[in-house]
Amino acid sequence: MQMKTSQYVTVNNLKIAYKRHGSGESVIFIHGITTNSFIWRNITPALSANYDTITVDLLGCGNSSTNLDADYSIKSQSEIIAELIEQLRLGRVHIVGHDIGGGIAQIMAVQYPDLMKDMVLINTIGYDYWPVQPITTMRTPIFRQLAMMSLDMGMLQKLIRRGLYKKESYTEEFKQLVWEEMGNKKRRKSFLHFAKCLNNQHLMEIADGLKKIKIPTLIIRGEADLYLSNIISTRLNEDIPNSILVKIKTGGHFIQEDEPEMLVSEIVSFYKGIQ
Amino acid sequence: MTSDKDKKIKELEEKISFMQEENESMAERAEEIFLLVMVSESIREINDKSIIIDTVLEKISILKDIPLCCLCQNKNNKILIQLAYTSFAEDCSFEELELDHEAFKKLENGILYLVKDNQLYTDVFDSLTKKNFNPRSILIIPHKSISNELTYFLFADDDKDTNRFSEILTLIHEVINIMSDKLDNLYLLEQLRKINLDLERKISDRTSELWETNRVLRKQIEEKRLAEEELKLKNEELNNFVYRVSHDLRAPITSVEGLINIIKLEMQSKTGDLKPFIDLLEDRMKNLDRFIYDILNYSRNIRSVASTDKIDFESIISNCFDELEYLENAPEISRSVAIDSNPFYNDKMGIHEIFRNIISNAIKYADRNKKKSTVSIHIKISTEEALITIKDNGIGIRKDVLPKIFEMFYRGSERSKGSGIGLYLVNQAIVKMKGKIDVKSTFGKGTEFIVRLPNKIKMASQ
Repeated sequence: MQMKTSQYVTVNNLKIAYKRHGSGESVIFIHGITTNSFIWRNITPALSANYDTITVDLLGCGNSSTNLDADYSIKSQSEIIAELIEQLRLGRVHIVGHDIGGGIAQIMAVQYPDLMKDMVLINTIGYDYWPVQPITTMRTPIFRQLAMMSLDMGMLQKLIRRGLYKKESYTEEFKQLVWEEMGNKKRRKSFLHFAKCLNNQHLMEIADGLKKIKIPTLIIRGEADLYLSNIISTRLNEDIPNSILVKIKTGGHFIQEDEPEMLVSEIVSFYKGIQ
Repeated sequence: MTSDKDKKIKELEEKISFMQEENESMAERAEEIFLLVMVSESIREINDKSIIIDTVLEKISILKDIPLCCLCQNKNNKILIQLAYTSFAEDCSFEELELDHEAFKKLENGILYLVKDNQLYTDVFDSLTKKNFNPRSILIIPHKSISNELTYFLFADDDKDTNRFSEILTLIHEVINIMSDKLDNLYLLEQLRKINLDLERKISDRTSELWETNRVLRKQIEEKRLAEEELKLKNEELNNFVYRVSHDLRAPITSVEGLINIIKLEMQSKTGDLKPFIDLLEDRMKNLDRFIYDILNYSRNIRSVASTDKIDFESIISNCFDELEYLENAPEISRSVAIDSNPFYNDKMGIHEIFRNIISNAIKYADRNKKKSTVSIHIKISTEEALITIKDNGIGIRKDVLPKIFEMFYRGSERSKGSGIGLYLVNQAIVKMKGKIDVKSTFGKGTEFIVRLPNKIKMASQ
């Protein structure tokens, strides 16, 4: 496993952490909610021989700033990633997004097409199928579940297990990494603030834009993802020109844990196909 | 047909909607139970009041989505926030909240529920407002602990639905009750611990008092026992004394009576020479006189308390030799005296007693077979003590006799003519002056007394 301390860029006085390995064309990995850059720990080692891999901690997550008065929404996060690409002078990059990170990648593909070579969306959110309303109350079940898992290790275990296809993918290490993201008062506040900032309106705004995307897009769907509807990937595949949909039967929501090698080989052959 | 179908669809839709509502309400109830279980579980192992309150406030805030949850106190009719959980800030401080008389009166009877309406309690809402928190409704619940401490739980929400608190009021009460039970338990345990501690301290105090009394009592008993022993010894000594005195007083008198009879007979015959008898008579009378002198000394010694005088050893020794001039061998004894010039303080009378008796013995028990009889006296004086050695080349003391020489009326030699009280007086004087005496003697060669007396120079200068 690659263990390297974080590097930082500063955007609007907020620290954004990332880890960088390897050399070659830059690939930016964007994690989803309940995790941080650790979710890529089994993916990037296989890619860093040929690529400059950059795994980012989104604002409010991992080693990035956790200011509670900042905007953690996917729209804001996509602006931050764009700023990071500018600051690091990466030129056009490959983007890989999982869960919420896939939503951020979609916004970027519409808003900043010049910064991107292509994108990979893994078990991504999309449109308004993901069960997040503009959150102002606890009435949204997903938020209630996230709140409960942040307070109770038992609940957390249940939710993690539900996100995995293979029983053996559930490890103490993975559980601890998720728990660190929300396991104390300070992190919990930041985690819940992140959840509250999520607004599917931000994806509805770009729904039309998706149809005009020109960059190659690989959509990976874990068929055992119980958290996100399979309609999302099907519709994205329909809407985004030049998109390929790959379904992995043995992948749950946290497909990086279930099928890391398959994921790597799909991404690599996608990049090779483009060349 | 169509309307029948529509009707059925509508019925089904209604059923679905009803089931959805039912489902939602069940989910809500399940979550409430989850909250209650979680609250009681999470504080079970905690024994710190602030941590318990903190934990519970966080759980209410997160699970019921209330941005501000706090514990407050009444401070001079103002609400002072003591502990707060804020979902919108990592740490946050608040000013005191000013409530009017009516509000406090309401709080005496139950909860206070405030809604922002731009007219009432605007100050209260303003003082809770932060950059990213704009409260729209406030709920204050008074709470009295088992120790009668009055606190308030304050909850503030920024939801547009200002009716939300009424929906979750029962749940909040339940949570507060769980926490309150735990805190009351802790309070009672603490009280119990204090009482225990107090009791233990009292027991410990009493025990040590008893120990002390016991110790004093034991000491007193021991002192009494020692005093009794001493008294017994003194009594024995006294008995012995009376017996010896009467015996020794009678001996010369009997002897004098005998001599007087002889003199009477001689006078009847008118032939004899009376002088030898009268000389003997004189000798006996002198003996008697000396004996009485010794007894008087003893009596004086026993009654007097040691004083602190500057000691002129040379003059004391010289006086002693003068006083003993009358003894048979006195003129033939050669003496040598060496004394330090350092100042020395102690009881003059006692020291005189020591020298007089030891020198007297040296003269009385001089060895006539030796060419020359000597007494040599050395005195070394330091600020601590005087070391006195008195050495003679007299007949010496037999080994078996040596341990008894300081006893009263002990006479160690056939040549003893004295009262047998001299060395007893020496020892008494030394004990009184807190000194020490040691004796070395070789039979036929001579005797050496080593006396150590403390220098009371410090007492004298005070």
